[in-house]
Amino acid sequence: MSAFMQYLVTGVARGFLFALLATGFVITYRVTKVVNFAQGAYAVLGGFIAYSLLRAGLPHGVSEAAAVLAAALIGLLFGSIALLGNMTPIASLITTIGLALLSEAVTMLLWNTTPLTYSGIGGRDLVFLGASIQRQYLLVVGVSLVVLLVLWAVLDRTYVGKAMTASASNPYAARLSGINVKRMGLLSFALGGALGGIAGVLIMPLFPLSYDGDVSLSILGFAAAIFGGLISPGLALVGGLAFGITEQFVAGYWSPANQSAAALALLILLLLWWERRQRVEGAQ
Amino acid sequence: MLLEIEDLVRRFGGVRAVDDVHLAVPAGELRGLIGPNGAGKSTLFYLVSGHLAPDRGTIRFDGQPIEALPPAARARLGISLTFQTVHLFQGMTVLENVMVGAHSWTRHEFVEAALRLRRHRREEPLIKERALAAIERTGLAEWAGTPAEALPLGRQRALQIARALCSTPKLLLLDEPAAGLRGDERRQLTHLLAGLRSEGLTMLLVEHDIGFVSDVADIITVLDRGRVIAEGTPAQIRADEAVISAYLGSSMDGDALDVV
Repeated sequence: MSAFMQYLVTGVARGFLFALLATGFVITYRVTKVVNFAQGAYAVLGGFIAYSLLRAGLPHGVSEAAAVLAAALIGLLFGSIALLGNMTPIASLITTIGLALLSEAVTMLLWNTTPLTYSGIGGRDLVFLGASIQRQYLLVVGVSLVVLLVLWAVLDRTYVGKAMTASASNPYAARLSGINVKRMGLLSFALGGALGGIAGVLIMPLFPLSYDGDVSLSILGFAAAIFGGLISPGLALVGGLAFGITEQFVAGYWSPANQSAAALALLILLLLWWERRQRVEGAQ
Repeated sequence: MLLEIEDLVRRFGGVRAVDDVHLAVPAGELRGLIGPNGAGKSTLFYLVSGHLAPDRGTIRFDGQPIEALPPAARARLGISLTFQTVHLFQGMTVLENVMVGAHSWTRHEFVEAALRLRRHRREEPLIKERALAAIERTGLAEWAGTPAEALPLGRQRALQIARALCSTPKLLLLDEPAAGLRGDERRQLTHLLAGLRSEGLTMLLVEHDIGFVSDVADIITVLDRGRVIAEGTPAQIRADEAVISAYLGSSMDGDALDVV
């Protein structure tokens, strides 16, 4: 029982990490139709920047907030490169892969290749149904939930969210209503950056990150986003949790060597399902 | 004059689609702009909206030159428009579609909405209120919660007008709003435009169909091959020799006489 709970809690925390990244994918895709494969890079950069700020003596809280802000700015920078001129969404996607590779190289130069971590919030572990749970897990879940709820409320319940959705739905008509579609696109990249940064700073105390960790983060975040057809933040959360929990149970009960393979097998099934659904919708 | 166009020229290759056009529309007027196919009506419309740039000439709105401004900036000054081809925001309700029209006067940003700051708290209810008023005004109240793409064509046209009204425009540009409408839908549209006019809204109505324009416009300007060939009240225009010959000369196919 205690092992089961341990895997479940770890899986849920990983799930929220993927959900944050997935929501980044969703927001950027909804506004720009670009799948931003630099999404995982924001998490690594955010985490590493927080690490360096903490080492430089800045207190917890301030370091993490500054790192998230930096990740948002990096998102903005990547967005302004990926949305240059009148690139098609596919060209922008390829550009984001290039930016992810570039950011890996820069990260390796600045922080070297050793995986990094820092201590999260302290305090005694909580004991719950026989599993001892680090408080950081609760922080991951709590902060993620608040962030996701606020974002969902803004996107689905407010005028600003409508304007963002409108830019994606019909850029031509949106422009005529006075919306600066390019600016909305940049905003969506900055939000993606902030979400990646939040994921990074929350998770680093639990799972050390290395400079090339962004690839698997991007893939699993993307997989979770596909769960919601790349447009639904709610389903992206469900997808994130599904992947996080599957991954931890496979690692725990079977072998850690298989955890990525299992998650990727799930991704392939999902992609097949999504492709089929797209075709059915296209036919209608 | 709310809208003043002087010496306006726009060429496409060797064709002068708009050739030395002068046009002045005072505030509160519903101006009709008609002409046979290829007369340059749509080109003129897009020059005013900002989707095309003129080769020469000036366009002043409320005394300010606007010919170099992009469409979004013109929208912020108070120029709104509806298209002949309906442009909707798919997957959004009628109310949500209309709310987007408010963008030309809202000021609050994403962060303010996320943190529920004052400007957001002040503007959000106002946006909804104006959108609902525009929906009411255009007779769409019972469809407010319906997905926009589910409306019939006549209602979609009304939705575009509602979206434009939500921006509280000073000038409304309408590109062939009656095209493709059924008889009863046309009557509703005539009624709506007449109502907006009586409330003092300035409109520039580009139309192919003389009958429809005559029912609503104060003054009609007739274009032919890029030039203004006549201007006057509907009665004057219908009796004008140059107009009759321009329409007869180019429309033996009869599209001037009925709606396609």
